[in-house]
Parts: sequence; C-alpha cells; structure tokens
Amino acid sequence: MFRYLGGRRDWFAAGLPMQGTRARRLLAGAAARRDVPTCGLSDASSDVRARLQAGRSAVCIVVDDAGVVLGRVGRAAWRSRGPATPVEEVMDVPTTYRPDNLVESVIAAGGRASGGVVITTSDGVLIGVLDLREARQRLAGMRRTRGRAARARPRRRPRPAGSRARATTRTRR
Amino acid sequence: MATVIDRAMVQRLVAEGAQLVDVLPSKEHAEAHLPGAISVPLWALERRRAARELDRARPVIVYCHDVQ
Repeated sequence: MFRYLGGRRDWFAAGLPMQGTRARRLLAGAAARRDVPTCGLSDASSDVRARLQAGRSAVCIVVDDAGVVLGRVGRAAWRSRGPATPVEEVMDVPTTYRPDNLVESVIAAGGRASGGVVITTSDGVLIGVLDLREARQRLAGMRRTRGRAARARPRRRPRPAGSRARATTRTRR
Repeated sequence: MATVIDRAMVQRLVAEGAQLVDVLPSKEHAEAHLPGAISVPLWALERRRAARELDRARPVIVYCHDVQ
C-alpha cells in the first residue's frame, strides 16, 4: 500500500491529466499558449528584444535552466532604460497561476494584466501564458455553444393535474 | 503502514499496473480525479465491499486532496 502525499492538488498543479466534470471546463493549463518566447537572465538584451519582435507574444518569460520562471519582460521594458540594460534589471516578477485553475477564476483575479498571465506548475516550471483577451473570447464561445445546446434540448412539460386519470380512462376504451 | 510516495513514483507505479484509490467523498471524486482512479471514500475504506473492487495482486496507491 502506497500513499501519494501530494494528492490530487499536487497532480493537477503539475498540469497532469484530469478526469471528471471539472475536466470539461476551460482550465488555465489547457487554454495557455505554450509557444511563448523564453530567455535566461544572462541573455543579451538585444537578443531578447529580437525574440520579442520576431514572435507574436508581447512578453518573453525569463527562466532558469530547469524552466523555472524567474520573471517576465515585455516589449516596452527597455523604453525608459538604456538598450543594453540587463534582463534582470528590466524584468518584473509576475503572479503565477496553476494549470488546474479555472480560466474564469484567473480572469477574475488577473483583471487586465497586460501581456497575459503566466501559468506554471507548483514547482514554478513554465507551462505557458494565458492571453486574457483570447481566454474571454473562448469562454464566451463556450457559453454560446452551451446555450444553443440547452435551447435545442426538448423541454419536458409539467404533467397537468389529473392527466394520469384521463390516460387510464383512454386505455380502458 | 503505507509507504509515502511522490508524483514521479505514482506515475511509475501506475505505468507498471498499480491501482489508484481516491478516498475523497464521491461528489469530489466526480468533480476531479486522477485518470483511472476508483472512488472509495475514506469512510468506506474498511468495508469488505471496497476491498473486493481492488486486485490484491497489484499495488494500491491511495490519495486525497493534499497532505491533510
């Protein structure tokens, strides 16, 4: 007999598969974009800026050798500083969310976070970046689909009082 | 006495055929559980019926929400 001490919280926070009703909802890990540019603390600022300009992401995530998030730099990071300022001095340290967080909860907590919300495992390893605008659109799309499905479902009419007695009478004829 | 294991060990044992047992209440199990886990709420763990659902020849891993 073995006991998994971390339990399901540890499992889901690592971005591992889930079964159950919650798995059918939009989760941060599933909605996050994985093709986010990354850089290291010692990367040349010019290289990081080039990576940002080449990609469609507004942010570059600063990670260590193990993929653990150390910070985030946006396109405007060097605007008020010299172009040679090291990554470490221009990066900010973002609040991170876990992959099993519901997207609507992340949206509620993340507000208008520019450049998206960083999703990591509980060990801090980068999973991706959740673009809040894209996430809102996906949620709205899912709600529309659910609404259409609910309208298409035939509604049960409540049986009027005494209907059972009438049915019995018909059977007897 | 159960041996405490971590996530990596769970993945290894499950790949080798271990059975996952979720001891959370059924409602919580229905909401979210590890793939393939069977629901045996803690209060039912001692019952014979729960034991019959498990294969005695394969290792059993129990888990709940977290370390609590």
